[in-house]
Amino acid sequence: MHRDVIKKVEILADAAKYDVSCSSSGVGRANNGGLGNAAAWGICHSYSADGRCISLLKTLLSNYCLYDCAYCINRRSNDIPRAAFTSRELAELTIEFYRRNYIEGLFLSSGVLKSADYTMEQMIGVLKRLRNEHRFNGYIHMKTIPGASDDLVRQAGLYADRLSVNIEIPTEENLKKLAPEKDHQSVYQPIKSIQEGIAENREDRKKFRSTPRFTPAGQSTQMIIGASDERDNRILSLSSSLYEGPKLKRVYYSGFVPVNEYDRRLPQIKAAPLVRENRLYQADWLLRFYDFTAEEIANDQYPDLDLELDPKLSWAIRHPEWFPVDVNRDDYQRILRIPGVGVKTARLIVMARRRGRLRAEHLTKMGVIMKRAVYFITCEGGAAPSSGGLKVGGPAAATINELGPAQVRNLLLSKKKKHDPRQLWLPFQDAP
Amino acid sequence: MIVFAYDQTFEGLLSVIFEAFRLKIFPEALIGPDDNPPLLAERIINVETDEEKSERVWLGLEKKLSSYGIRHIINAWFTEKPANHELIIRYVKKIYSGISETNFADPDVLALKQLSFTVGREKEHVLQFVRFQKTIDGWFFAAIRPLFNVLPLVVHFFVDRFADQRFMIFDLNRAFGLYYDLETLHQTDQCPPVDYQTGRLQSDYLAEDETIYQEAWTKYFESIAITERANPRLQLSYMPKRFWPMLTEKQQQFSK
Repeated sequence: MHRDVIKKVEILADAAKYDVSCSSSGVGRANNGGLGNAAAWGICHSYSADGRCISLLKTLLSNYCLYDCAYCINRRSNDIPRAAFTSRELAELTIEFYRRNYIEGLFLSSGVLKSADYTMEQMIGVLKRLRNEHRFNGYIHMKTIPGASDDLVRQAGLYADRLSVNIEIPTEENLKKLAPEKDHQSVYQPIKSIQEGIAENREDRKKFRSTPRFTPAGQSTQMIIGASDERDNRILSLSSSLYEGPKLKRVYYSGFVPVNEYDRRLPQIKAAPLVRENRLYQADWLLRFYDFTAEEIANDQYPDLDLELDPKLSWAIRHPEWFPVDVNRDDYQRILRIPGVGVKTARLIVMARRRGRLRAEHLTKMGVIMKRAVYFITCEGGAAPSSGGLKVGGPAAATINELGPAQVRNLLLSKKKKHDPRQLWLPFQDAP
Repeated sequence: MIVFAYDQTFEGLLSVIFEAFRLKIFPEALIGPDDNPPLLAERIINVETDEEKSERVWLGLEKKLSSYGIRHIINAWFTEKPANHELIIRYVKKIYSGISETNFADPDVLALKQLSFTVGREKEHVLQFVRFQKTIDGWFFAAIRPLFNVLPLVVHFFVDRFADQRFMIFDLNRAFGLYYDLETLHQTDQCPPVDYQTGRLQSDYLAEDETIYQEAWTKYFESIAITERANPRLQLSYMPKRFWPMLTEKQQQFSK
């Protein structure tokens, strides 16, 4: 490989970094003669300085772009260094990184060259080279360019493990405002086309087991948070409909990082809304794994997520009538609703209670976060496990029904600085 | 205190279990053949490793336990800590006395599961953080320093993945490595000349373009981070500092 490629890696990885997704999970594949396999659980090979997982070689094929989207660093009107890989360079780089166990595979995106279809053809060229010439069985995630024809989307699906189309802006009027060249039609058409491809492929594989798989790891999308004025309930109901309708595997949320500060259409913010992004991910998990509906998490009455408390906790505080949950008696669905109990812990509880009544100390060992759960449960050895020798938050730890929602909220938010009793501490008065 | 002495192999441990059930005496401590007995040992029972007995115990356990239970026992064995081997014996005793393997309110059942998860995490860390370097002879070398002896547990993953490349993974802590020659695995205690801290091969043993790829990877690693969102604590929690010296992208020889 020539040294010039290093410069291209720098430019094109830098241009691709605002794409959130880097997961390599969702498809297991053994090595069928050639190089590589895919681990269904996904493997992160490194973590960048912002704490995000690096699982794939995430890069653009080219950062030259026809479009002029307000939120994008690679927009046509920005004066930034531009570069493009040849398909040969990129395939070789992927293979050599893979052989060194740096990555699980390739995440390929691109700026729009000439036209959406032309760009897609170039990207598919790289995939073909990897799969056919190098006999690469690792993971490939490819971005679909909005407005690409159905034919090309179908073709890409035969080589890629996952396809994704970025919605970017949740509502059409805002999308039109910030990205005049795009509309929702150009985004939803590929999503629909991939969905149909997957459904047909499922039917075909029932008849012939040997039919090649079509995007076995499904499709995902991404929304930018905070570049436009949508409320959280709008965003979550869109996510929820994407999970239910086109059966998306993931919706990613990308807190808007203020690039292109000169553009007056964008909100003037100093830093990315990281807390809000985090709360949206938590809410997203509730949708996918905890059987919550979008309406329960955020609705017209509470259009935005609580930034101080996680969405499950704030739901629980709004619904004291659900509690206390008896961990020895109530069904799995109800146990899953307890703040401080996750999916794994809930399963452990259901398994373990068949063998004996559970007490507070058992729950702690199984991974229940008692700091939060204590106000919402009863278990063996007392109405609330505070009688089991556990002191939480305040002197009278009782359930939410005795304390009232407002006080539980206060107790959970108050962070008293604890003094280590072994440390000598002198209460100096501040000088007047 | 009742002490069993055995040869500290897995078959030996299974033979200990066999003998314990036969004699109806369970060990409170285990020692190796050359270890001094503990101070308060009142009785020391020497157990000969017997293939037939260990086979019987293993088959019995496979019938009695789910694949998870079996995995937990194997993982606990590879921690190489005597205390954990004693835990295995207590666990097996409990399983045969009618305690279910899903009774997580029992301290030993829970402890074995959690121990197994710790080993599982270390296995995952090896899959994540092994960094191969291409040698001048065209095969790939990686050095690791894992907390537990997990190399035998993960090597098959690499054999499947890199079926068409010759490679060696060397455990510097335990001074043994496994070499894959496109057909089978060979165990070796011959390590190529490496730096113990960083696991880097001496530069004259590296393939010609190896440093270019290492540099490209380092630059990629630096470019992909969003500076505005720097979060060193999160990075540390996923990628503990003990791995950093051996990670190409963290060694800084190519940094700006």
